[in-house]
Amino acid sequence: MAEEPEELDLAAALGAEAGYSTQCFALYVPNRDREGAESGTQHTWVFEALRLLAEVNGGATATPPLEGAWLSDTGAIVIENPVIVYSFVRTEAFLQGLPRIREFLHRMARETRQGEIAFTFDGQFFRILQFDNG
Amino acid sequence: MSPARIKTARSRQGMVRIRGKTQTPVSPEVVALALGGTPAGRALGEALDPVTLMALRQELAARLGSSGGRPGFADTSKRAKIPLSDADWDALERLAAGLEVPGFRPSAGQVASVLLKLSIRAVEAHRATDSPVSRERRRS
Repeated sequence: MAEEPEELDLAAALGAEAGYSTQCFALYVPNRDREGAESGTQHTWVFEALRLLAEVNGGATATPPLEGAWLSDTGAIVIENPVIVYSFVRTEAFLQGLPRIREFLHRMARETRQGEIAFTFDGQFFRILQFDNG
Repeated sequence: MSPARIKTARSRQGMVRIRGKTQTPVSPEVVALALGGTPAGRALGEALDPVTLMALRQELAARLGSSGGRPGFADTSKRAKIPLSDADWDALERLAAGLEVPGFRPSAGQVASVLLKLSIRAVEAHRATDSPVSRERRRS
C-alpha cells in the first residue's frame, strides 16, 4: 500500500497568491476553413483570444501552431495547424466572462468558416457545431 | 518459447499533496451550456459514461458531507481486499488530490469506493436497458 502523500502549501512556499486555480479552459484557433483553405487570419484570432482570456482570468498562454486533423461531414480529412490558447480560471471572473467567450468563439467560427469549433475545460472536450448568428 | 518477461524495479519519489485555498470549482456542464458546446471525445466506455469527475466529486461530497477531514462513509459496511496495481493506486491518489478543496479531502480509498459504486450502478443500468426484454419492449 502506498504511503500517505506529504502535504505541502506550495503557494506559500513559493510566495504565490492563495486561491490557486485547478481548472483550465482552452480553445482551438484554426488556420484553415472547413474545406481546408488557409484563412490567413490565425494570428489575429490568437491575439484576440489571448487578450480576452487574460482580461477574464488574469493571464493566458498560446502554444505554437500544432499538427492537427479534422474529419468533415463529407468524410474528408482537413490537415491543419491549430493554435491552442489556454488559461487557468478565476471562478467569479470566468463565470461572468462566459458570454464574452461565447461571442468570441461563435464569431471566430463564422468568420473563419469552420465546420465546428472546439474547447476544453477541466479535462473535458467540447465541440460547438451550431454557431450563433452575428 | 516465449521470451522471459522483464520486470522493472521501481523506486518512486513520495507523492506530495498540495494544500491551500483553491478557486471554487466550476461545473464543466455550466461552461458547456454557456458556450453552446456539446461534450465529445469520451474517454470511458458507454457503460461508464456517468463516471465523470463531476459525478465523482458530487457523490464524494454527498457521502462525506461537509464536515471536512476524512470521516468514513456512512453507507459502507464491508472492507474488502481488492487486488490493485501500483499504477491504479497512484491514479486513485492523483484523482483524490485533484478533487481536494479546503474542507474536502477525499482519500484514494474513498475515491475507489465511489468509483466502484458508480461503475456498478452504470453497468447495471446499461445491462437493464440492453437486456433482450428491454430491446423487445423498445421494438413493441
